[in-house]
Amino acid sequence: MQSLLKINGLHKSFGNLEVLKGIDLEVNQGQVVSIIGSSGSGKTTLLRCVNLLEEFQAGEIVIEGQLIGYRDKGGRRSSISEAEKARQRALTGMVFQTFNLFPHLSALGNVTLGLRKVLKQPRAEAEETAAHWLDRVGLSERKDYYPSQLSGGQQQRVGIARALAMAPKLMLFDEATSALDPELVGEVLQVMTDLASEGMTMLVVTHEMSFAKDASTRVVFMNEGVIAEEGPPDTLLTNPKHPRLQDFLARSQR
Amino acid sequence: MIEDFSNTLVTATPFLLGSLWFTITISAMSIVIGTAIGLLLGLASAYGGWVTRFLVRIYVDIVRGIPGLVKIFTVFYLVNALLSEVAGFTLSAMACGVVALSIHASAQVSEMARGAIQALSKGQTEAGKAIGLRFWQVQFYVIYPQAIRQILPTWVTSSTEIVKGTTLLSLISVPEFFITIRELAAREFLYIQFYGFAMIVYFLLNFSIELLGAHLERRYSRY
Repeated sequence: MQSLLKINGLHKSFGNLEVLKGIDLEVNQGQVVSIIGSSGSGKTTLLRCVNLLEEFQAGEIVIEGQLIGYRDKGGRRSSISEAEKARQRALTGMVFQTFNLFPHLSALGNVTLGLRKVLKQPRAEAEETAAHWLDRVGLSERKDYYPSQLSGGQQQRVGIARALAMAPKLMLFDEATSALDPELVGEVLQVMTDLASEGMTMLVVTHEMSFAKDASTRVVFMNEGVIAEEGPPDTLLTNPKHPRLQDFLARSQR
Repeated sequence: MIEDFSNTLVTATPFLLGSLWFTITISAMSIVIGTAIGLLLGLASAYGGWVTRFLVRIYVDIVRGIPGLVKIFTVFYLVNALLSEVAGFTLSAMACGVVALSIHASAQVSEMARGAIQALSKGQTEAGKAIGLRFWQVQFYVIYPQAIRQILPTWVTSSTEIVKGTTLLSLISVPEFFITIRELAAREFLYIQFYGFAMIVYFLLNFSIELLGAHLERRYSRY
């Protein structure tokens, strides 16, 4: 089993507030890691450091052996160009809580944009690839619809297709279902579960305990900027050791 | 009343057409140049460091604070005086008009553009970055299409203001449309007719800009 993502001693502050206080995490190829925790625990920030939407002050992030975000010049960090960062972002795909679809493009347009402008695919090829991914998320009939004409669940599935079409090594889900009506959560979770069973490496920040329990290889509980507990879903969720995690799970019972 | 007017109109047509052409040319040039500069300034103040933002802020505040006619006079007298001292040439009245009106438009467009860019959610830029787009790609393919839709109505208003502003150029002796109207009206004592005619012409000019704006809105508003 090959290490896909390795995070060592990650520290991140917003001004004076330290939000990530030394994170160590390893994700192997094909694993699905769910990150749970209260608001403010740093889980979203952690995800956003992995695809360089946030800068971090100390520590290392390595994806498939590549050092991410900074260059190592004999032990000292040296910054890299925006172009290099853009290339590193292509290793990951991100699905946002608020979908962030491009409203002026159709579903097909949303998916083809990256294919044409980043991967430089010609238009016909890009549209074929995009149509394929939209079909995979169950939206082939709606490919010419605009985001405003789609339900929340459909928009999020377009968001997933958009990220997958770029063939990332690692998929990052930032509370992908938190902004959805309860009835629409199911269709998105289904796509995510199918993706997991097909072997995609996923890092999923979520409040959906059902996904954490049924679809993940491992669950990570974050609290106040550190990983407080980590383990397989069956043991961690039914037999939590850390007191904060016990509180958290008790409060999460519906 | 109508007979005199239509006779004069026929004789005066070449002068009127010539000066109308001036008005249209000056308006078009000022709108295009002003918009281009304004978009660059808007971009700079949306993304620039504090020095850039400060400089653009000063520019916009000064330009917007000075009345249009004063700007025109400033360019015609002050700037020309400087130019003849320093560089040995002066700008024609028409060029001064274009410069002054372009500056006027640029300040307005700059604020429109900055506002529209900043109003777009951070999520749009992040989604663009997340699929690997670089800064300029995010600007061209994600930000601008949305920002332009936003500013279109205000831009139409700003452009019609420029057309109306060309009438002020008569005061620096630019042979634009309105001064020709005034001269004809005074010479023939047909004030009502000529001013009425001018009203219709300017309305039509600005209405075509509005139609263009509406067309662009329809074409790009496929939300």
